[in-house]
Amino acid sequence: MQKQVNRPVFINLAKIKFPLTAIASIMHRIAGVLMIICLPFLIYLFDLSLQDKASFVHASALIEHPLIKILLFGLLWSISHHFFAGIRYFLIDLELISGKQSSRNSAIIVIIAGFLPVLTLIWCQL
Amino acid sequence: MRQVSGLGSWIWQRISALFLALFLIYFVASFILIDRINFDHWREWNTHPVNSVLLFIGFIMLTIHAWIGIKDVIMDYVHHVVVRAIVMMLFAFMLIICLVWASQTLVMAMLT
Repeated sequence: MQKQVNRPVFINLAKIKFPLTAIASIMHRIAGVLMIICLPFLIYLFDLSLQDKASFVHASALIEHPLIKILLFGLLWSISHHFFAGIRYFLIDLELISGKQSSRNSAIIVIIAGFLPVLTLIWCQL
Repeated sequence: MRQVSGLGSWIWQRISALFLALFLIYFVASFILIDRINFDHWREWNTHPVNSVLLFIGFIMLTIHAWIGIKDVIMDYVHHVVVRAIVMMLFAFMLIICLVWASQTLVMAMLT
């Protein structure tokens, strides 16, 4: 079989349009990996919070630290996005979402919904 | 054999996802109306018989879910066979440690 030689060799990344469904999917993965990497830290916090009153206070102070707070907001986004994207996959499995248009619309809803808890929490703290 | 374990992963990913999603809803619902959680209340919630059983099942489900998820991600992006095996083992080790640690935390909280 003859190889096709006219294929584009230099791929212009800026010209590739990622469909929203692909973006929602890659965010699902990023969120999952982020949570796994942070899992030891989360269990450390869980451990601290349950030992005694003093370590609970220590854990409460720890999560007030700006850098840790940013990390926790990232994790809050992760769990929210992963949760909503997961529900979307369940609906796709059950064939309640099928076809291009509903896949796209549900992907948009998932991407937006993933940010809502973070935005709500920031709003509450202002 | 491969096909069987692939289907097993697929099913378990969904069973664990369902449990974790329902538990997350229950967890958020338990605390969303409380303005400031104090130690006694937090401890009481976590050591409550029903909640501690759910938490323990949740830790196991989380380990299963995280393992299947990270395994798929590693298989997609790490192609070198030896590197892939090492990375997978590191994550497996880390997840087992996390499961033991979280369970131990829960048991200690219930005993004291």
